[in-house]
Amino acid sequence: MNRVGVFICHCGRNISTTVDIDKLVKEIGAHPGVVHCEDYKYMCSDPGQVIIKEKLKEKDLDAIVVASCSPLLHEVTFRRAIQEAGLNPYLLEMANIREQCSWIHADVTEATKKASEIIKATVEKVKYNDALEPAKIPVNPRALVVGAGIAGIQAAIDIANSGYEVVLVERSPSVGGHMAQLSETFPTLDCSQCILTPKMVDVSHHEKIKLYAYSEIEEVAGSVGNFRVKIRRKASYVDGNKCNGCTDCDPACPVLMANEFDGYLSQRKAIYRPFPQAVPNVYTIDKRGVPPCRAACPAGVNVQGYVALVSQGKFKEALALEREDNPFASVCGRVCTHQCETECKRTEFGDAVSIRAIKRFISDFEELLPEPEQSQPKHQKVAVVGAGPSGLSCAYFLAKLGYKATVFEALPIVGGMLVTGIPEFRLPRKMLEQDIDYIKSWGVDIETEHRIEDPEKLLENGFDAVYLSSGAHVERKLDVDGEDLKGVFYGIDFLRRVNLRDEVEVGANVAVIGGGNSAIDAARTALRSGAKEVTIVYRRSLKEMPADRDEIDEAMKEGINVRFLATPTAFIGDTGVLREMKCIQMRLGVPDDSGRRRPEPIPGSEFTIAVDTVIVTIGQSPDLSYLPDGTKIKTSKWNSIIVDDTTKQTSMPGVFAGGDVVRGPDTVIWAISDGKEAAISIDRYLIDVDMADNRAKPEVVKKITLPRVVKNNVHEKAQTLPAAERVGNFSEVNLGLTAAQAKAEALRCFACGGCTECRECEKACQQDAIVHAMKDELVEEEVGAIIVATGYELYPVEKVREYGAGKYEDVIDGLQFERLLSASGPTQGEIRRPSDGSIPKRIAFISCVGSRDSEHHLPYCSKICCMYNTKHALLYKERVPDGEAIVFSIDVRTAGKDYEEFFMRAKEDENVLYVRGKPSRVMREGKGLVVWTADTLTGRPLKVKCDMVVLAMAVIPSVETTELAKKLRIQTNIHGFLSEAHPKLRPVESLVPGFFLAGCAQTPKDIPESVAQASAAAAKALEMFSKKELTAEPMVVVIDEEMCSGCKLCVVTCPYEAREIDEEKKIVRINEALCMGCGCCVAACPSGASQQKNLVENQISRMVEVILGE
Amino acid sequence: MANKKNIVVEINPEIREALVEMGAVDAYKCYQCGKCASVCPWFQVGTYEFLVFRFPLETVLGLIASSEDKDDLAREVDKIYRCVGCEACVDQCPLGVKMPHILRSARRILVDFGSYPENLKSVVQKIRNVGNPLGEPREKRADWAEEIGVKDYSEEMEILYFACCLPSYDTRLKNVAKATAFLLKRAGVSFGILGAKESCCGEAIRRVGAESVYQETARSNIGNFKESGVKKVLVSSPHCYVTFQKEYPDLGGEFDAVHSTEFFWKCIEQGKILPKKSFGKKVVYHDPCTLGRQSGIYDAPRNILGSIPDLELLEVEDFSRNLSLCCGAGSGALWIDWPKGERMADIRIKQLVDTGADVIAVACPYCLQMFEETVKAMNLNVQVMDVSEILFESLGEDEVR
Repeated sequence: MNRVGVFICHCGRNISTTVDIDKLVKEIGAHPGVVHCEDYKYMCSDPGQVIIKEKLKEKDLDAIVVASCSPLLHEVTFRRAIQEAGLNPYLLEMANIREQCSWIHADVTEATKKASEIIKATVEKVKYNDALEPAKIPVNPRALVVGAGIAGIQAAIDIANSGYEVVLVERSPSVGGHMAQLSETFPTLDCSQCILTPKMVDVSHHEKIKLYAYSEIEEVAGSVGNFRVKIRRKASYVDGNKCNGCTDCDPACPVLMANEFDGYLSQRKAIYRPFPQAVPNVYTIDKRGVPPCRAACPAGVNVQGYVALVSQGKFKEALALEREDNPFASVCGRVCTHQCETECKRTEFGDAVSIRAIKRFISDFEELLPEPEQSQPKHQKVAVVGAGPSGLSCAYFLAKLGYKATVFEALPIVGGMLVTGIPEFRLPRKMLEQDIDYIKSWGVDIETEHRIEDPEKLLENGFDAVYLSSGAHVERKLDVDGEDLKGVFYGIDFLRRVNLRDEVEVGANVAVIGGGNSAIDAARTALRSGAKEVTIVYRRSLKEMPADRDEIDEAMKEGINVRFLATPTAFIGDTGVLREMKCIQMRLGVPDDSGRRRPEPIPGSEFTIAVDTVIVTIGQSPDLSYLPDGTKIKTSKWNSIIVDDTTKQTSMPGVFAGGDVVRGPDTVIWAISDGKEAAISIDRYLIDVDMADNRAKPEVVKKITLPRVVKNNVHEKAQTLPAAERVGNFSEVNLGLTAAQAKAEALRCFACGGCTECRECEKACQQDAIVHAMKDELVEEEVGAIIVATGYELYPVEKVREYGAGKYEDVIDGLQFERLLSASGPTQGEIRRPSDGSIPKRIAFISCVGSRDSEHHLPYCSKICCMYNTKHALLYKERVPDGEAIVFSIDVRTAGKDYEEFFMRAKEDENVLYVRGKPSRVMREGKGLVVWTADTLTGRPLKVKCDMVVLAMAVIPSVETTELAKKLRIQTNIHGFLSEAHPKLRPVESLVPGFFLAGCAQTPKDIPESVAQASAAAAKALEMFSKKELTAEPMVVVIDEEMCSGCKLCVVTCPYEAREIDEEKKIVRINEALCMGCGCCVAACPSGASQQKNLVENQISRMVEVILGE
Repeated sequence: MANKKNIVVEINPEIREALVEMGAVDAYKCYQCGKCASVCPWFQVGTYEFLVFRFPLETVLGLIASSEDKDDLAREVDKIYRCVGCEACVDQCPLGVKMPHILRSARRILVDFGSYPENLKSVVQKIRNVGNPLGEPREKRADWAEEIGVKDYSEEMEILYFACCLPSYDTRLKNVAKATAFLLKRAGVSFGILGAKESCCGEAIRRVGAESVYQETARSNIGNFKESGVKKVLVSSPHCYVTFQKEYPDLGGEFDAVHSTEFFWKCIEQGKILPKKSFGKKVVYHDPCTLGRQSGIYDAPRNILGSIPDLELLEVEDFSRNLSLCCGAGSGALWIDWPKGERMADIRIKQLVDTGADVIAVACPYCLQMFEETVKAMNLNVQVMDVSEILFESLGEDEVR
């Protein structure tokens, strides 16, 4: 092209104020290849376009440059103009001297220079432009609507009623959105449900609408006219075709969760439908994942499951569920170290749920042993060595799988450390026997007084696998002088002798060395065995003591002294009999590996205690003397057996081990866990399946829903035997919870994991609709247009600390107040305070909470709050005529049809009081609340007492809006609201072709506006469907086949998946319908084979050269 | 009808421009929501009307100190000096209007005209003459340090300890300086003081409006710090802290300021200081405005107290951290006597004592002085201590040499 015409626009004063147009015209006119250059005030106007057309013909121009605004605004205008004059429209280019020059510069000389460079560069580009023909794209006349609130519903119905198919996707289990939560709507006070529900039914019955509820958009591929959409149908664990919404499952489900639909003011079950009028009318099970308590339990006990069952009084079902993962309910209900309670979410607010006490309650409740349903017997036999908790667990889980397990025990008594090491006042023999009997009922054989001398031989003698769980019984010594004196005992030996009713001589003055549970047990046992004075000597402080805090407290109650920060250095005796103990004072230094501060002796601080009995209880190690010489079973330097962490298999195939013989002295629950894990491995070993596969610990649930205000932060406490009644006997000290206490305690559970899979719903459902194994499903739909109507949510109240939300129950947000007003809400439409159910006599409604606060929250006005505050005040006055409604506001914005009249009605007819001022604090005062503010009009500081506060929280885009915008690559503003293509002229289109916007996902708006915008978006989609095909920009990428090496760099770079490899030719092919001409591949291509039409390398380098003045 | 005041006024652009010139730039931004009026400590005092939100509008209308009437003007001067600079309003303002800057601009004009409270004039004079608001001689500034053998600062030292004027001279507050010095020694830190070469940081008089004396004093400090090779300054007063950190750089003084609570918490974390001795008392911590709201240091003092054995740490419900109530001593108010019934410290002490605490812990010399006086005046059975004093006690006597 060598006859370029350049037309420079003044854009009124927009360009001409900063750019010297006359100078520009002269300069450009002289540029090589430019045969005509002229300026005009408004080039885009009709006369302006006429100038271009006329000059084109008159001067025989073959390429045009219009220097004006951004091509986004008028490229189409000018291209159409030159096309009408007979020139190919792609021989026109725009030089943007407004947005990129005049608007952003002030200096005329500099701006003019820059404008000149921009235009010259564009001239150089247009010289090499080709005449192009736009591509034609067929349109798939089918729409996807994302979000089924009022906007999505309206758009879907409008399109469907026009005869086109619609795919409607809703994230929650029911359509309806926030409008379904509202009571009445302003300014007409129509009942929200009454006007919405018919539309909800419409979308579910319309033959042209395909509804995917409880589903999310996973991925969108393709482009305008032809999108391919992947939809994730989330597992609802209820077969929607079978469920008839009969509600039978509801009372059966024991899991109570905060009800999001009621703004967390009520509770619902884990199996639920959001509200009775839900569409579709089916139930959904809310499974969140593994709760922290279960994840913390080494044996993976379904903690939340049995706690939930207890909360509903289903004690037997609770015990059965507990035993699925742990046969030792009575034992663990008493002596477990309860890591579940340590991890309980409740600890962030106060006491953990007393899980152990609940477990103990259900184990005590058992009257008769239920007859277990035996599994299909298997022929393999397994030997278990040692009848402690680990061995018995392993045998139990093997028996449940159908294996014959035989447990060999050297002692005449079953239970291992549970019976020898734990005193009866903590774990009565009868209760231990209850668990052992239960294990036996599964067909486990136990041979007592049968010491195994060579475990390896067992494999040769008819056993297919062996589990070693012989415990740790060798006492650790202090290594000080005098340990051999008469009167020095070791804790476990001492406890065993007492527990097995052997004669033990306990003196009057007893010292116990150590700080673990065994030390406390030994001390309390000594006291019950005749000691007058018992002192525990521990080298660290109370904070570091590993024993259970409850046990320490009980010991102290019984009169046991504890001497912290001291350790013995020698035992001194007369003629071989202990007389006194030398000790040294310690202090705490820097923390050691265990995280506890290391004790160090204070020089010169020695002291002496007179004692006649000392019980050293500082730990034990395993006795491995029964392993044969040259054994294949590897052991550690601490004299324990080494096993694989996951499978529990020793170095000898077929031989497994667990419990204290592997760990050294450890807790019951770890012993049980090892037994359970080993049983799983042994089963896999015997049927020859990979033992290590798929055994990772499950991840803890991430999304935990808490009540808005957490209450009941103190746990239920069990009665204990009075200290005086404990002397001289071994009666159980802890008397356990009552049934009422157990239920109340269980109700404190937050139900972090949602459904616990207790399967009570399965039993209740007569339709067989429950499918616990259901998985998410991906479906694909093809559509031509996408309407995004994903809505809003409220800014979280907790972020506005000064108003006390989250702290005071009676401070709620606007949507919660809607639920209080609603006939289907938690109070059936009566206005009652969440804290005590009383009727509030004065309510403060606070405007602009989070809105119009650029410093702390959001700078924008949320638009709907002034009106709904007014509505709330008015409805409150209607329900509680003697009540007082006070609205605190900075402004009252009532721009809308009949809105000001509505506001005046609230003031005049209902006497709603408006105070002009933003409150600074809401605090408790007596049973009520007090609002601190100032009335800025009278200039009076005010303290306003009230019974309830309603916060008009700012409107923010829903989480779904934000996530979807990222996924779809459609633009948002900095607050996450979807951006429209033009704020005035294209308000319902996205900048990305084929996407349309409706409702609050774009910006806060009320119902009439949302519906209007939805219909407008539908109209835009229908406009598209009315054409058979769309024209597409032809500036796509072409591949120079000679240069392409098939390296695939561009394939991964392309955001539109518009490329594939031609396997035959080993080069890349372009799908022109998908290519958006973004140019990513051009930059990525190492050889320059990818070139964009009319933006080829030569054009770019010429432009750069001109700008650089070359 | 003579002498009747005309209540209809005109906009006075001259006053407006003067105020804006002096720094009242935020006045235009305010949308008059009035939130500031009820976060202001005067709201809690309840006996003096102080409508904070009026100032921005009065500024843009040019109505501040515009009256010709002598009594009116006196009342207005009194009002302008009621702001204690606690910045509770700044913290809560939805638009971030820096209200104390608007008042400071008015004060600068009043100081230029010499129409400001006599007590403050005397303080400004004393700082100009002897470098401290108490009017004590310069030579005595290091007396507290000599008693316990603290050295003069020299370049190879790690830290300059800048004790603030009150702990340097005041009989009661000297103990804070001493405790701090002992703690620094215990932590093995090399530090010294500049003694007579130190002057007041100037924070208070800057907020009083005495800009030129502030600059003179600050420049003298900056010169002496630089000359002695100071890099890092440890301070006991949050007022010195914000001044060194945020205001000296404007005058060319770039020093790394650290507040003693932050420094000592780090020492505890690193094991350089080990609180051992049981404290055995209930302690409530009062957030000084300048350390908390204005510097964002809320946790370090609490962490220190929390690490002391057998110390029960209490909080003032509703009024702690950024919602703490000012002691009433900031921006020159330490030297102004308001009538009984109009003192913030009385209200704050009540809040603190109502927690059931045996000890009120502070981390600011102004708060310490205010509370000591108030406790005495109200005859209350509660101790007031600086966090550094409590920490020092917890080392145990055998640790002190």
